[in-house]
Amino acid sequence: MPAIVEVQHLSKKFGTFTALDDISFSVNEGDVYGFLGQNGAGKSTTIRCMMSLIKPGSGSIRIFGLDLATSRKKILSQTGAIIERPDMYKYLSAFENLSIFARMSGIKPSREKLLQMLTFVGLRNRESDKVKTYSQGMKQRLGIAISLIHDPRLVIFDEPANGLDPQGISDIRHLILRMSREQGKTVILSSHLLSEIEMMANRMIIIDKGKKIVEGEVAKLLDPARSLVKLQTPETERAHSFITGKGIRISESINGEYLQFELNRNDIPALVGGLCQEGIPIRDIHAMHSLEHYFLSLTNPAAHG
Amino acid sequence: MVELLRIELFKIWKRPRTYIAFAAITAIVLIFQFAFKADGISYMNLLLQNVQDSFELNKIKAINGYFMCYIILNTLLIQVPILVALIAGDAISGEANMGTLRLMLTKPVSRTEIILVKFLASFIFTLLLLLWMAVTALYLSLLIFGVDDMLIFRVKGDESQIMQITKDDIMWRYYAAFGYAAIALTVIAALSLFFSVFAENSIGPIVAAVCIVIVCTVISNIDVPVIEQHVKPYLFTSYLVGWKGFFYIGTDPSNIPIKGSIENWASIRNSLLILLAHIVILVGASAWFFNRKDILS
Amino acid sequence: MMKFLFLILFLGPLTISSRSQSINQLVEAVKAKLDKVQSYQARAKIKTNVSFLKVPIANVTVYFKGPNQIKILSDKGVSFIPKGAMSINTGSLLEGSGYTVIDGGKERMDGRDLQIARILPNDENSDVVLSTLYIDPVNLLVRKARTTTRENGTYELELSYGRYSNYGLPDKLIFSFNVKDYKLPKGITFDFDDGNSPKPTAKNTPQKGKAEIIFSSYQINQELPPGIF
Repeated sequence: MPAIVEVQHLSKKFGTFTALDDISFSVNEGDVYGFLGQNGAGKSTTIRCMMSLIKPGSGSIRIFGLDLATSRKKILSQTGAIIERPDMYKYLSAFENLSIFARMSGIKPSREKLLQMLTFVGLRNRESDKVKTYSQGMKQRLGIAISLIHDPRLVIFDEPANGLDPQGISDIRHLILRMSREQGKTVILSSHLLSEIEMMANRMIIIDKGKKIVEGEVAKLLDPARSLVKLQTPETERAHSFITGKGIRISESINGEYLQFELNRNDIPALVGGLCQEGIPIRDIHAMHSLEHYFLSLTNPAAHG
Repeated sequence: MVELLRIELFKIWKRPRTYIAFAAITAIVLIFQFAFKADGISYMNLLLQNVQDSFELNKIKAINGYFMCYIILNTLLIQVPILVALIAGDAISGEANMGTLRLMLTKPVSRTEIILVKFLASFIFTLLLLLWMAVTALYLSLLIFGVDDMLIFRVKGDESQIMQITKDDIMWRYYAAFGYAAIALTVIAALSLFFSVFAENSIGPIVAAVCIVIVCTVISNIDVPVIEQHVKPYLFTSYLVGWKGFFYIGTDPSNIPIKGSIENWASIRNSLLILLAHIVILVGASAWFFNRKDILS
Repeated sequence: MMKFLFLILFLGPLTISSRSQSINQLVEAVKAKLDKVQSYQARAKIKTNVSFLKVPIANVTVYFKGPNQIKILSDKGVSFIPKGAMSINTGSLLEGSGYTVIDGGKERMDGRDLQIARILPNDENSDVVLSTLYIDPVNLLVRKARTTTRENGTYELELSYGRYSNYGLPDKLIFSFNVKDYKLPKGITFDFDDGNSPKPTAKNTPQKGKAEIIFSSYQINQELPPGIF
């Protein structure tokens, strides 16, 4: 699958506060990609950078193979998003809101198409009501309609379940899954709830305090037997070829510094033995706990420290 | 761009607060007309002062539609900036406050385009306000008070003057004055828009723009030579009342007004250029800052 | 033509004999001449010359009805008509409950020898305190008049005669009067300063205003339209 989003070394400071610190990740076409982190971890800042609401301090963002800094309009015309709350013009009806944002996206949908979209999100028969009469869940559904009306390839939802009741959350989940499965859209989804990501996403990234903690396939990352191993060695090249020779995929490496890869906890002693035999010096080796445990410790340090 | 402008105008059209401005203008104009119909003579006496000791004047005829419009504009054009600020000051900050700015900026539209469209929409709103003022303050006054020569009472430096413009020489002056007022009010729109870029609620920029207009107007009216010579020329508010220049009729050496003339066209032209420069700079600065702004709302 | 001849015959002896007349008789002769006009209706233009007034020339109709009623009506609704112009009728200076005439000597003006007559009203409550008439004894015409009043200051008339000199009615009249300085309370106008302000002057003294009244035609002793007075 080709990467549809490539974010590299993204950093952003607000004054002295570092909001994003060297974040890199990629999203493949067709992914439901989860963005997991506590509130304030940098999820929204990253997403806002991707939607060009915030200018990155450094780093690059490429979407659909285009540079966001130079091809903003082209990228945004194929992207739909709900950033934080789904806010619309409260003094206008759902139909009018949808029509306005469709036209801003550069299309002129027919009345039928607009109504069809409102049917898809379950707002048919309420389309003439002013948005100020809507519940949070209805606004969220209208937000989804707005983000989909121009038939984008990529859809980004920032905390779509926020402020919704359980029924609302379940409805939104269904909608997102339908749009991924039925319409083949690539979806980026942020949440502070691991369970939500686990339920919907196939790939994910965890960020904390503006730094990337881990990125990978949800199924693997959430496999309790799996550990993320960070091996610090001055001879990364030799270590790299030794480890890949064992059929292990390196997920991240910095020359002369470290390598990072996933490994079953039980295989770690054998690997260290092998490295020693090869005469590859090891400065430090660190295996992280299972991801869930790790994430919970982030969100609630007192209980899981 | 045209589509965006259409959307912007649609939003303004649909907002209840848009109509507050039109209602306010209608109310002020009607109150003026009622007051002058009831007791315009008192006001005329105030303006004429001791001139009445030396001259006979038909005061009823002097309080005609043209005179009324001038009096109304005189007051209204000091209040209307607030109404313009009410819409233009809300242009960006209102969207930020509502949260729609985020959504808007994730659409394939450049920020410069958004600023230009917001500015154009405020400009069109201003034009419509002026058009409504023309309908109510001018045409309705002409209907109620009739047509006759117009008297302009003016303080020029240390002198007070009364100018009389014949009735067949007035209409074009009003059209020119409304045109000028449109440019002057557009400066207020541009100023409000500029503040709007930095704020996340609409109260701030509206209050800021109105305060600047009030403070500068007060300073503009301080009668101290230092201020008159060194401060006043740099305050844009000094030029807001330039529409009156079209009613300062030129005179021949024996003080007889020359039909179709303006006393000092060069001064009006310069004022217009200064106002236009303000608009260009303010809209340009709005776009510059808006393009560099991180949207955190 | 017959009328003209008649006038010359009638007035001829009067003008010749006037030279020897006392000042009292001269004034009486002028009054008698003016009294021939019982009423008139005249078209005129008024050009007002007052520094603070920038007003166009007003087209007016002047109505007079003896002995001393005068009314100036503008063709247009809005015009500034000098109030004192109501007394442009020199005859009105010689009305009222008697007056005393004092000989003021002679003065040469525009190549004419004029007899100066000072008229003091006998009525002590009269607004007019003193009128000075410069009388052309040859034609029995008042060429200039200065009137001092209690309430309205001093005003002056300079009269030029032509077609209607036989009736003592001027073709042109320059009326000078006092006007108080006009000062608008600042702040009620919010004016546009076009950078052309005149230099502040330290004048608060009453200014002189002038009104030039040019008569184009008279209809003398014909019935006036009703409702004028």
